[in-house]
Amino acid sequence: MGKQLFFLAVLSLFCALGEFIIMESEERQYSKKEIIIRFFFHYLYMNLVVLFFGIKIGWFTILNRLEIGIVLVMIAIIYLINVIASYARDKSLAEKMNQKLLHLENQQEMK
Amino acid sequence: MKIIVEEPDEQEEDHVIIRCRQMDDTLLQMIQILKRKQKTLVAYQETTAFMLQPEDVFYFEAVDNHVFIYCKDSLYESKQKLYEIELLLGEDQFFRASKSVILNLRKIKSLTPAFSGRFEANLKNNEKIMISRQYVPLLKQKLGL
Repeated sequence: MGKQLFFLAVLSLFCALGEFIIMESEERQYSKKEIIIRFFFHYLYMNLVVLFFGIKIGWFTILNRLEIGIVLVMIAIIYLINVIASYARDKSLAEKMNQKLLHLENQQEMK
Repeated sequence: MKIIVEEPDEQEEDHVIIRCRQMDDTLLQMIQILKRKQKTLVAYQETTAFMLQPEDVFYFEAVDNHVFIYCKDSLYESKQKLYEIELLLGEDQFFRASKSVILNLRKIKSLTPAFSGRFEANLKNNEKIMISRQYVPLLKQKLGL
């Protein structure tokens, strides 16, 4: 049990470290294309980390293709939900900001 | 209209006081001119100096210890540092969009999400500038959100 908890903690750490792949650089701005590529590598990294530690903890075995397949599908769904939810939130904020920009523009024209 | 010019005390900075019974168009124009002159930017192209109005600037960008001023169709260089420009213009329609860019809010045509909490500003001259995630709260504050 203790060993499992330890591996869970280390799994969490490695998942968090994956943020460095998609984190913004202080030195330069990434383009949209670069960010998408980074997200793709982040997704691959998360798959590798979860599979590796899942096998270590004993959640599933590498020989059982069905189990591996289910885990990969679950990761894909959760990742997709996360990306879509983040994008939807940002899109909503962008719309609000665009309305404010339009309002500013109209105010400027009235002056 | 009487015009009086006095020398201020040593500790006092230069200032203009307008005393009037009623504010008219002439006085308003004078105030506008004075306000504009305070924030006029000195910009360079090669060795030629230009005076730019902040409202004509689309954005400032710092690259390799140089600060460049981007207007609609022209590019200039500023001798000031980016943080100095931010201090000068930060209260107006300008805001820090990233570590190396100060953007004019009034030159943004629209904003689109760009993943990872960032936004892409589509400018009126069809350029695109990325707004870093850490500076989005500042943009929201400027827009009153």
